[in-house]
Amino acid sequence: MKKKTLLVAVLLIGVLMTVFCSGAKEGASAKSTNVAGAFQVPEGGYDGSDVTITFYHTMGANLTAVLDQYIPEFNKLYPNIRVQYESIGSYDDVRDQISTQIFVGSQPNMAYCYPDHVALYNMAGAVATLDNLINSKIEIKRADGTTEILGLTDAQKADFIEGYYNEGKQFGDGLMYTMPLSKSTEVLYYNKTFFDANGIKVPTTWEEMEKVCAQIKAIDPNSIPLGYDSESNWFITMCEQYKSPYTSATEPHYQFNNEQNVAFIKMFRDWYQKGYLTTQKLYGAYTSGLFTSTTGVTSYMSIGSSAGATYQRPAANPDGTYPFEVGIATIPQVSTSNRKVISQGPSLCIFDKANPQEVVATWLFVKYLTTTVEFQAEFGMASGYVPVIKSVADNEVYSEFLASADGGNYVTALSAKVCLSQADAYYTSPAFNGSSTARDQVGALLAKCLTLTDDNQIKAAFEEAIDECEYAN
Amino acid sequence: MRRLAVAAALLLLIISFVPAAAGRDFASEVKLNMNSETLKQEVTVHAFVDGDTTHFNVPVSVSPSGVLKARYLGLNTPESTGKIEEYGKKAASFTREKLESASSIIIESDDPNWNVDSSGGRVLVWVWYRTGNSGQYRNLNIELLQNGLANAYSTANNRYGTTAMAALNYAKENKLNLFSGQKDPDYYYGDAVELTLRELRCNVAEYDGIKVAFEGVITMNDGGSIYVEDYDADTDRYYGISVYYGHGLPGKALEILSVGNMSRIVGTVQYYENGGIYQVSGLTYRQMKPKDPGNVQLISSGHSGAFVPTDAWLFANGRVEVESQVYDYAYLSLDTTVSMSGLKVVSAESTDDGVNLICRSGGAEVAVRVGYREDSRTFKGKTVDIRGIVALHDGGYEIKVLSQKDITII
Repeated sequence: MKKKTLLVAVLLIGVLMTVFCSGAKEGASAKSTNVAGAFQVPEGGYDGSDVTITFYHTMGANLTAVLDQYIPEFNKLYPNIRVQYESIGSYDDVRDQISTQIFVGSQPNMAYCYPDHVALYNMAGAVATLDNLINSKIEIKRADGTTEILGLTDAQKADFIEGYYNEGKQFGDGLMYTMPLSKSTEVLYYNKTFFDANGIKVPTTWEEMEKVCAQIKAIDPNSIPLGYDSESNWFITMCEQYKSPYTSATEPHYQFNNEQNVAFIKMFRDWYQKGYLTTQKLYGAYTSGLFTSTTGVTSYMSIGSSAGATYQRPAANPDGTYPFEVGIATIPQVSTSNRKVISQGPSLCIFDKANPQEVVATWLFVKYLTTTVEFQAEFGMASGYVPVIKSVADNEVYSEFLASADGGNYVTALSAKVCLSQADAYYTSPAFNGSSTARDQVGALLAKCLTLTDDNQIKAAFEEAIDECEYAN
Repeated sequence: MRRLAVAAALLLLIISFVPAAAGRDFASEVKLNMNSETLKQEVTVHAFVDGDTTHFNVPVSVSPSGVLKARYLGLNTPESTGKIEEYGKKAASFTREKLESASSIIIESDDPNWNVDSSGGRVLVWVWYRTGNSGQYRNLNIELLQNGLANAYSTANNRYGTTAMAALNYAKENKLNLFSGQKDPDYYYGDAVELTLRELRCNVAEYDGIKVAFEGVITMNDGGSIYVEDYDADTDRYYGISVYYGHGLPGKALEILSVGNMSRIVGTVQYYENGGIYQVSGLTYRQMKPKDPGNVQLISSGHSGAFVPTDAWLFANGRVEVESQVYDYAYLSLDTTVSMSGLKVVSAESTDDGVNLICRSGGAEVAVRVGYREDSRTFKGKTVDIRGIVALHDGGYEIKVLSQKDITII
């Protein structure tokens, strides 16, 4: 918690420095007086100058392999824009790293981000707003002899899935701060072979989930029927499904200590005590390890990111077949009339820089990644992430990919299909300074409460989590 | 008091961002405090894996197996296993050189527990070493960062985060290695070298780090790897290689890599430190461009492994000459399918995931690894016929039997 406080302090100093140093920052007068860092497009847009842009992300080897294929394609159009990327770790690592770098102005040019990260960075006015870039009609010459406008055409704007696109302007001032790159959600992976063999119906509600856990426990007493990777997601999703308060963008921000939330925590605590479930923190690793295990203690259901489907598939047998078929379904709901699943997956933000050419060059790369059908399709097929533009659905290769969905080699296609089928149930949480802390706190709270037998301790744990949020911010 | 602590930490952080003087040694700026609340353990190296992963020998009180798989905290070195990345080899060599020269190595946890990484398989540690019998221990994690041999990975969020971040910034400011903007002299940037599996097997060390393309029959799947073999009429032998594909390939590529297919493989040869073997990794597949020459490609299907009937004595003692070079018979057979009959099991020892057999036939001794869980008593004193893959384990040759149907008790 001290680390988080420290980050906020660093950013506050960054804000002060931004204010005190504004007179000395020549470029600032040419841009805007808006403290939030509204970006003014330089005359002529991108001037073709040599620019190296740095990109912080969390991609694993399978996705950097896709990036490696498309950076050279981008460089055929813009050979003087050199892209250097670094895989930083988790989303929190990206946030923390950038937060410290903002202080000395060494932040990257662009990064994977979640809305609460952007709210944090914006305390120092570090994120470039994209509105003027998106709306720019300046014509840019490309190295292959073709031209494009710097901004997005109307067709390109309309091609974005509206909900994903609008996530970029959820920061209270109506300005656009992020562009969606790819989306995912949480899904329920289940051992289809085991379910079919034992006549078990896939649970669609938490009520049914409890019965299925009991059923599995009766068949395999040594198993832990359900693994849930993200405690934070679980808590927040339950708030959404129960329509109970979690946080608010306005004061009071931290509203998660309420009767309904305590009640569902107690319910899951009871399940945990019966051996029905575990989580990443309690298991000590991604619960996919338990799900894919074919020896020793195993689980038969795992709730995790739809973008991690290949890690939920067991290792192949010597003949190449799989020990069991993976089934994928939507996560259980409190009520089918209020379906809620978390909207995840990275958006991209661009950081303000003294040299506006860096910002424009970064925008061109962001635009390339988010509007190029081939990249969006390839990235989606490699990961299970869902593309953010509609035209990918018309792409022949992507359509074939979806049609091939199965619980073995094509598990990413199955995952993408399930993800696409519940786009109407996506939710996002309010982004404000402190929302990131709240997310961390409720995750830790859930994991802690599962192990507590005394209800008074649970009550105290909720109060402590609220205190930690308020103290940190 | 708490505010004071935050202010002090903030001051330290600010100091760490002051541009570093050339030659600053961050690895010695942090001190190993043997009295702190963290866990510490003096260790020796069991196996080097890559720049940020080493297996250490530890007391069974720390790890029941006596080996702790350690992942270095606060950094991510470029890959030199599974996939070869620029400066990956240099980072791996740096770690190896430092630890081989050490007179003492101590691993330290970040808090009072040995915490594992998200895979659950590796313990997150700080690695300290010293070269003399006295003097200060150096922090290898930070030394990798300050030399530009690692990218950030949770660098700010740990007990030495301030110094670690400063070391990373120093490497960036001074454009060292990964941040030099220069090509890695040890990295192969060229197109794939077309070759046969015979050429690869006979000269595998020469292709270390090189992208290669070859054809062969996929004979077996072994977790995240496949075995590929090809017949060479000139020497009348089969040659093989293990190919790692991991989690990153899409369904179409996995289909191409199905057992029984003859496929064209394009990947990079790498020495897998932990297993002491060469393998091919870094396979890619562009789904939007299936004909891309960098893709794996299906040539034909309906094949099977040769399972060459092999004499135990020849396997254990045979020597073969190919192009004036003499090799162990078993070496040339590595990663190919063989069969062997009438093996008398003289010892059988169960492990976590299989059974190790020592068998005799015709006066020769052959190690057999049964790669699935089984009671060792099933095999003790029995005579068996086996089908499997020739493999290298702890410097010795063995035959890996991967499925129950490939071992027959007579």
